[in-house]
Amino acid sequence: MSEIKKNDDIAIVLKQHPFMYSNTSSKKSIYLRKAIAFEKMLSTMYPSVKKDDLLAGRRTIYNFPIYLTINEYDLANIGNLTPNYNTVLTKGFKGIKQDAISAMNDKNLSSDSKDFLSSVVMVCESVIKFSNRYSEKLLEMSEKYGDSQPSLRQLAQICKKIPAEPATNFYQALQSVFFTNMLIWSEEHHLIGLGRLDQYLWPYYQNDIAKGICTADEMYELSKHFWKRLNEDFREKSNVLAGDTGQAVILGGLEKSRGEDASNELTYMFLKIAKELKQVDPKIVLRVHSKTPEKLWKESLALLKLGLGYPLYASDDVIIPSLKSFGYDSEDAIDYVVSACWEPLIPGKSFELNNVCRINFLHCLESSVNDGKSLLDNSQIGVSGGFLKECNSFEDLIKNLKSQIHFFISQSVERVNNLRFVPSPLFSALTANCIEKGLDISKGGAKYNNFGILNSGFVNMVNSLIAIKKLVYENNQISKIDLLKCLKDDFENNMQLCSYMKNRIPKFGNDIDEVDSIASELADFYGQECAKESNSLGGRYKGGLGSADGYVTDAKKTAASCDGRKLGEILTVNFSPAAGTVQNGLTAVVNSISKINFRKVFNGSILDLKLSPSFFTEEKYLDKLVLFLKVAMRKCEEIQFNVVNSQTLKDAKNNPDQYRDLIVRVWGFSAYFVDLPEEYQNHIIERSEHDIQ
Amino acid sequence: MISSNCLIFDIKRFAISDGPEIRTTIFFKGCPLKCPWCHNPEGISFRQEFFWRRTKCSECNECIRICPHGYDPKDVKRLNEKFEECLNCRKCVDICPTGAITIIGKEIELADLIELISRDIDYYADSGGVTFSGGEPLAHMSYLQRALEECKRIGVNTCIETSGFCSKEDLLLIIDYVDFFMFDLKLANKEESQRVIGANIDKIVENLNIITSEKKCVLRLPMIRDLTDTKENIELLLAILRQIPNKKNLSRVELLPYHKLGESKYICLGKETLKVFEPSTESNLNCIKEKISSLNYNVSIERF
Repeated sequence: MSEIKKNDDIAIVLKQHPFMYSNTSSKKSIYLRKAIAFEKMLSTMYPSVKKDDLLAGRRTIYNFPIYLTINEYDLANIGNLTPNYNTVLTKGFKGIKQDAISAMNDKNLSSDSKDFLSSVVMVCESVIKFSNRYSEKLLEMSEKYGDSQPSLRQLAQICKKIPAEPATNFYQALQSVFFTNMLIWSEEHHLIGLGRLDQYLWPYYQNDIAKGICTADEMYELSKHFWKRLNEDFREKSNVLAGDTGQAVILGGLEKSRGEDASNELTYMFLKIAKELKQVDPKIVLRVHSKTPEKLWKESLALLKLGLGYPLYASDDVIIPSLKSFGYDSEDAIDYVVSACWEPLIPGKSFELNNVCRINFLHCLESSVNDGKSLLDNSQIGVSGGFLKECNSFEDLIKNLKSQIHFFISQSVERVNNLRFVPSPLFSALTANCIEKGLDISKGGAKYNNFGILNSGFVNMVNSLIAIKKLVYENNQISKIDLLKCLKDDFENNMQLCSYMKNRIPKFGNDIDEVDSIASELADFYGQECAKESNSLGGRYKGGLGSADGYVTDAKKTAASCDGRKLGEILTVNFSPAAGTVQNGLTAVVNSISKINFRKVFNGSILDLKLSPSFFTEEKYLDKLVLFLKVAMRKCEEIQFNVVNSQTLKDAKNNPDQYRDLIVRVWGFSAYFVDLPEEYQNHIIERSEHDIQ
Repeated sequence: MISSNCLIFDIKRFAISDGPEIRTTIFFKGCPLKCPWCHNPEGISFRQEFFWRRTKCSECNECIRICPHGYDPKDVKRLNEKFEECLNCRKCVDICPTGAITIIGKEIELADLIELISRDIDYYADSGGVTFSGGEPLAHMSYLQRALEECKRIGVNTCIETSGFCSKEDLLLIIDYVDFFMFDLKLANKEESQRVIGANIDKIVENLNIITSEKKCVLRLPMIRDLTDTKENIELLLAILRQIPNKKNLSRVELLPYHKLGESKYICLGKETLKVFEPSTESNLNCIKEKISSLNYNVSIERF
């Protein structure tokens, strides 16, 4: 990974402008204040150009000028979205400005709307001015370097026009997207996706080839530079952990006009660039469906093999119908991209905070057996009522649990519905319907305003329930009182029970109907309950079983559970079987997952699978992996693979308990890594080191 | 010796090394041969067996406490000797919190087996399906025959992994229901074969010829240094390969260098550990590959 060298320019700028305060005391509306602050930032931002730059735009200021009044400090920033780059490509900021001016002609406009539209006009002007400054700087640099860097002169020409005007060729289009993206980050929006890059750039690519404007090789070099530049400041862009930038590039999928496969030469070109550069960022999400060509499957595996953790596979066959059944227009659903992680949203048409809150399902379960209280410290976490001792049957327990799930959802929703957001004339300009409605994106200007809920501990809860069913209600192996005591004591006096729960009770992910049906019933219930809730912008809530970082952060505050998990041990990640519980192979995992009705919980219910690099060593195994994926991606919403590297294997060797499900391919068959004799483990570690290079 | 109950000791789903495409492999318990290098020792006996995994055991000694006979169930050799008595009790198996003590071998109703096979039917695509392995699947004729018929009824591709050691009549009973064979050949010298693995090589070769004249087949040759890879044995194997009636049905010959992966399982069963075997040397493997290739067969070395 390329280390970021702090740009010296930043230091210079900050020295010259130690206080970049905008006016916060005036009576101006928040939209205008934001637009003024934006102008202030851009006018002080030093146009940073390096000798080898093929694209212009580098964020050199990391503090947005202050513009909020004291009463506005609790407003939440917006992000985790993908803007409509196509608007800039086809209209340019001049066109957008014109749209805003036209909208202002409406006589019935409220003063709020007028201010909002004025702020859009101001922002467009600021952007154009800023790119002109870049153009001048580039010209100056090109004179300095003369004939040695002819590209700077060409780029100076482009910046004079782009992104003010519509792009007319591939190079201009790339500059337009890159510059716009940089501006959004500069306005302090995080987790900004790149959208369907192989789709909106495709007309430019085709046109350039047809008219001989640019060769495929030249466009490859430009795109590679684009890729590198997006990764340039990935640490600054990162959210929770380094690399968590949400810079997703969506490739493949279906196209709008005829519903056919949309992959094209650009799809392959971007895959090749990602393979060549091996960066953590941007990450590729590959949309697949029943018509995805064999070649694309194969190429995607060649990238997956590198152990970078992408591409992530998203199923058009599952996601598009789910979006439609939730109420999205067909032409929008077919155009979906994903939020920072994997939750579907419509690019440039959505203000969808897809991971705005999270339900801890183990807390729901704790509440349902302990009168709404935590088993950890007896603090109130759920709604009162409900004791395990009063549950005469397993069904009684499920009933209790459902009322707790309902309570947890409504409690989270209430909290979220109190949130108010900072306006963004810039983001509004790049989001459909905001200008037409005269409404900022933060106020519901976008076409879609549905929010999404995540999970933690869903699979732990399912595994715990089956354990309670077996141990308490079927086999009378333990009394209800003793069971709760063990959980409260973190199994201190009964490690055997903990071990028995862990090893001897059937688990989710093994295609066992008795277990899977519990998961399916509760996922349905959760999804339905979410969809009943509305948010403050008129949208609804979408349930999902992704966990993002919740499986780690929630672990410490979640008591020991009946799946044999002790206090503090991490929860199950996303919608995946618990670590070490997969016993019947990958097909059984996918079968378990597929028993869920994804239409109810489509907000990114992703499955994580681990694969050994040894799967990728021979053509015949690659072919089988393609066969598997084709079926799996009809049955799952999304899958991401962890192709384990030697480090993981070494760790697995030292901590076999955590890696019981790690499968490696051995000579004529596959084996669980931890079951292998040491000398063979060493062999595989050595081999994997070889593979990764 | 062959029990009337048919036992299955493992079912592997998403099997990618037991025939074309993606398969479910059914491992039958019980084999008439006694190959000393066997890497699936739990597939040799036709009876159920206790199996203790040291790596899983937490040494809580619950099993000792509960045993009504005062045994230490970790002494699995003794359990397997006291078989009937222990099998009727099973208290140690039931109580073991980690599942370190298990009983290998389970009777599975045919309908249940077919239901399980059909769970992965979507993944089998064109030529994936089910592989019957073992043990020796052909030593479980009546069950195998019904299972194959059912697989064909639901349209699942079938493969058999066999040593070819069964009566010709039995083979003819099932051959029509099998799409693909994986056939092991070990020792080709008549006396050696009888003495070391307890099999009549003539019978095996006769069956190989029947199979290859009708069905697609992959031949697998375990390569054990100074045992199966000797000059004499290779010459005899080449002679068998030369006389195959329909050579194009033998789509590939796989050389399988010996590996030690089965060793720990002997300990789990309380059996004498293997005497030391070694894989063939690289140069010998290549030389053998060369020789077989010269007969116009497609040869691969399936390395660990």
